Amino acid sequence: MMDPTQPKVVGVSGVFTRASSGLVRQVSTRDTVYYGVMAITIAYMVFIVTAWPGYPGSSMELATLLVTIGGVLLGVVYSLFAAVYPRSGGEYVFLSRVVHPSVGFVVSFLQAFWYAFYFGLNGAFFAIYGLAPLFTVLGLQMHSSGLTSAGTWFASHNGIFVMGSVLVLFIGFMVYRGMRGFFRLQRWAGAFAMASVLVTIVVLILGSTGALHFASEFNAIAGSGAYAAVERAGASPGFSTLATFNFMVWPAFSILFSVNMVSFSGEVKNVRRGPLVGIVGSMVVTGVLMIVLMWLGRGAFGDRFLQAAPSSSKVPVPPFLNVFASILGHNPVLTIVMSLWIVFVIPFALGSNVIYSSRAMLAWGLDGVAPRPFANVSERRHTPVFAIVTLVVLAEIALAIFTYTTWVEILSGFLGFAIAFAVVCVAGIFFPFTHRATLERSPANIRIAGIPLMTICGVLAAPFIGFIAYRTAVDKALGANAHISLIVNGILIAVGFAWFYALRWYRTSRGENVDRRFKEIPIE
Amino acid sequence: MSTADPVAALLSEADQLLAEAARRDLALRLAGSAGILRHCDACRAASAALARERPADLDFFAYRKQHTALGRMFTDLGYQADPAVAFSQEYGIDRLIYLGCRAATKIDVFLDALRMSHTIEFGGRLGTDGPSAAAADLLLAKLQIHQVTEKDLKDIATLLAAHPVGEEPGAIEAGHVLARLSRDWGLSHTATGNLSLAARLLPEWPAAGPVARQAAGRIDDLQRRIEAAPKSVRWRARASVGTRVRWYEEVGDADQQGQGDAGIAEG
Repeated sequence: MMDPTQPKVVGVSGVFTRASSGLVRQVSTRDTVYYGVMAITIAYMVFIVTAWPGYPGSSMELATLLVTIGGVLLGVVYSLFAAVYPRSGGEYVFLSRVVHPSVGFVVSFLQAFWYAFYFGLNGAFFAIYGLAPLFTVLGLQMHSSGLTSAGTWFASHNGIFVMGSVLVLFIGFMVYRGMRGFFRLQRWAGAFAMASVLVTIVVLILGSTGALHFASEFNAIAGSGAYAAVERAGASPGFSTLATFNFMVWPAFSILFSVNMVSFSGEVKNVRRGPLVGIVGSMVVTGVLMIVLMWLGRGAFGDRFLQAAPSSSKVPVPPFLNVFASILGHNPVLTIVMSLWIVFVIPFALGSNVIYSSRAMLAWGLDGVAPRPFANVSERRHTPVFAIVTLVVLAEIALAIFTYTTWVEILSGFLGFAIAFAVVCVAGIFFPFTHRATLERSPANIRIAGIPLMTICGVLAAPFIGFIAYRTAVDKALGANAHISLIVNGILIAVGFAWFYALRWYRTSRGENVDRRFKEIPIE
Repeated sequence: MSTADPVAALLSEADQLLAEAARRDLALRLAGSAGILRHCDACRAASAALARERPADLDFFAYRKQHTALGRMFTDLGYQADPAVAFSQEYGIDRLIYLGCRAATKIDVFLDALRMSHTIEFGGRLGTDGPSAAAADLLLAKLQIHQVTEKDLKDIATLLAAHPVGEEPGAIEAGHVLARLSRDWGLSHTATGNLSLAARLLPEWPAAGPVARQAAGRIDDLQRRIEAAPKSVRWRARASVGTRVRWYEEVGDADQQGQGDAGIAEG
């Protein structure tokens, strides 16, 4: 079909014909990159490094490199799907059209639930990994018991819940106000966060080269000989390939998440370039920064110290990379600057969580597989208010459970995401053959030696995603295979299918043809 | 008014919308080809002389701060928002699009700015007496089109045949047009290209006669003014890069993207 807005040259050179005026979408490629970087959440570096001692002999840098490569392959599959189906709503849109409506819904339902869960948990992470370390170190550096007490309070149950709730409500409000303002804020926060990462890298380089001395700075805070005592407790195992593979789940929990940009791919200016650059570009940029931070962190603080610190009683501060960098910098201003890649990034992780879930719910509502209020948008703000309020409530419940109970852990929801990634991967392998005409009419019709790029990337990404999914289900160190996590994922899948078929039956009984909607694709 | 004449029917629909907006105290001005036709008798005569094809849709300029009330007005009048962009407002498209249900095939309402190949801001400039936007804004809206059509070029010629460029009453505000073009090299490059194309095509259009000569003289005058106008530092910096870097926005199809379920059956 001819695109009415794609002008054709006629007669005189430079003069075109056009059947109708077009539209310039407003989400730029730059915004997609910022969004991807924020969704990846480089701030997760803090607990990625803290988890390292649990995998003796693993190489953090190699694991992160492998995850970046695997993530890029998965990201290409996602971005090509976004180019074929440039509609907002996430995996739901293309899986419901490509695989089966019920599968699309269940995968989306699973994702939306866990993104709502992390909407709350990221609020907790803001206090635990951002505010508490910042105020604790500032208190020590400025000899202020008030600041130290504030740091202690931010790390307490009530501090985590209160600050997490403040952030959940703030981000919920920002998303309610609309994506124009959200993206503007994200650009500023992203720029400051990247500057903060660069400052941290410079400080770590000075530490690695001996210009700054971490051991003496640490001893000044923890007492004479403390650094050596911690280091002595650290192991120094030889390199292990298996441990490195197993460790991949941690960087994967971060790097893979720029794919959730497909939640608003319908609004991206250039749907062929935007998602590809946004998803893949942000994975590469953040992956490289993570590797650099890991390598320099090991150089500045020492492998044995980093291995022993999380379990050592001789470390009087939270055993986080950003805390150690602040101690190394030995300057309150530097401490504040180097905290920005935590406190300016985590809020936008919440943003990506709520944006994904609310847009998925909106898509469900529009297709008639969710109650109508999910399809309603505010007359003034044009945002899905009902979905956003629902998510804020769910996030508060998740935040309370994470804060006040031991039922869930950091990676409890990763299995649900891994299942979704695996389904997309497999769908990407077969899509070019099951929907050949659709692919060939789309900007995603890219082939290498005659083989569709989507199939190539899907085939190469599948073992990686399969391994990550397997590890999230069996890794004792993660909390992902906690009994409750497995039960919740099972329940979500069952509820998702039941929900879909119940709503489909209900709509059909009222004379609505829900199935017809899943046979529709965007115009060529 | 007879609805047998499609143009009359289109302009009648526009007038009804403008009257309803005025009744609701909303600033709404007609733009695009219909806006040029409705601007004044001279424009209508020039358009007829150039044998400009009849417009099929309606474009309006309005203020973003009034978008909620405007949306309510269109809904009250029975218009349905285009589902492909009904959920795009929050991303800042600054545009309401309604499916045609009377004479117009489609109705576009641009809010504060027209964002197409280039952005033309008209915030605070809708206080004109007539039903149409100011002639300078109508002209800029046509000059910014990167892949211009013969209809667009005839609209440019129409405006310039009907109005001199200057500061006197009834003229296209030279100061506003030149200020806009002198700070944005990309817009200036596209606009001067379109003016040259219009000048080249004028002799080829049938029965244009004195209208074409009038337009040609004023196109020449405008081009000389654009060239002579002092340029901003930003303009000069961007000019040094030239066309090696894309200088315009790529305009897509409203129906191809979005969040609605608008689409066609596969296969």
